[in-house]
Amino acid sequence: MRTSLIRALAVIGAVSALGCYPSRIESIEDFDTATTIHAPGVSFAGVGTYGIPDSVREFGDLEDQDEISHAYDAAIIANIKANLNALGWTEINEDSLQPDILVAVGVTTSTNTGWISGWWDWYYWWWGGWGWYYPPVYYPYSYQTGSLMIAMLDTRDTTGVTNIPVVWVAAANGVLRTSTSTNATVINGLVDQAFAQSPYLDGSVAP
Amino acid sequence: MNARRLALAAALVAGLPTLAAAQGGHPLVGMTYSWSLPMGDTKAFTDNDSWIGFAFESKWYASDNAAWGIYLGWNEFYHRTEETIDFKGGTIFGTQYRDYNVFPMLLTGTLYTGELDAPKRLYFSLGAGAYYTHQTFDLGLSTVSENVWQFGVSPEIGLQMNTFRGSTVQLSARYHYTTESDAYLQKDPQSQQYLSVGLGFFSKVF
Repeated sequence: MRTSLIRALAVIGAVSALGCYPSRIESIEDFDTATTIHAPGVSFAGVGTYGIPDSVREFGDLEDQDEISHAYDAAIIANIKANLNALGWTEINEDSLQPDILVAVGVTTSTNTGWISGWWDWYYWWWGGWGWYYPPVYYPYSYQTGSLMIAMLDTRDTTGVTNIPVVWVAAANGVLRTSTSTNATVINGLVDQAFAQSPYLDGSVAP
Repeated sequence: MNARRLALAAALVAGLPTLAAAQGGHPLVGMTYSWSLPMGDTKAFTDNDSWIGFAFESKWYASDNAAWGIYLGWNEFYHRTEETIDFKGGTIFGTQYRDYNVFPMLLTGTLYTGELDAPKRLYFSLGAGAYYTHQTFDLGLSTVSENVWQFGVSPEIGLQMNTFRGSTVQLSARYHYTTESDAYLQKDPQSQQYLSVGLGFFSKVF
């Protein structure tokens, strides 16, 4: 009788434990992250203009590229502009005028760890003839295929400069892998989050 | 998977006293289910009460009012949050899943009030021994984990209700406290601290 009781309790306990075991992944959105980094000591006070291309550039390992959806490019660019305008910045044509901040938008076509190469070449020819360099910030993450990347290059003072600094980077990890795995609302939600967690961009507080 | 294997191993080890029963005395062997409230550093990482708590326990009576025993437990604490994480030079936002699986392995000493066959007996117990903790942290597609061993103590107060032929029901409150360790993912010294309220069923082994 007592043995049966103990056995019954053990079974009930084991079943209860399995039933209560937490689900680590509840939806695909659980994989989404928005990461921002900024160059130390750089103030955004005084920034008034920006330039931005009207496309999302692909970059990554040329020998191992995945297919990336561009179904939401226009919506993404429009949303980025909306966030930049909300900072009080004004968009200008970077081909004819020099903006304070040049905004680059790209998507990864392969999985990378650490900083991503490949942007440099494109932007070097696209605008200005300068190289650029990343801020010296430790970023302990890997970018999955389909990660949306937004970078701000500080072009306020380019006198005698050969490499212009990247002063802000935002990464939405893996959100653009396929057009069916996500939607514009999710992507732009992460873009909005990236700006929301960077309150120093409007120049009112120090980074 | 490690957690379940350890729980199985704990159950097997806690059952060993039944083999020793023939050597004298009649040990109480049983299982306790517990609800736990994290405190201190445990609460800072997993700010959720836990409904996942089990312990296998054996007690040998040294006298009518004293016993010593073995306590092998498992408590899991987890917490999902979308708090942002600030680091030097940046911020990360995403769904975080934080998890502690804590396995106390204690030697216990227990003092009882009243007669051995009294219907109800209050008792106070103190346990000491090793705590093994498996820590997990998920953020986006990344998962990191750590395994930590610590020394800890665990006082307990409870009410033992004798039912029939040596079987008992125990209602108890147990506090767990470990020494600090900097082996956790936080890299700052961390101590496991939590309060468990348990309901246990024990049977005398003849």
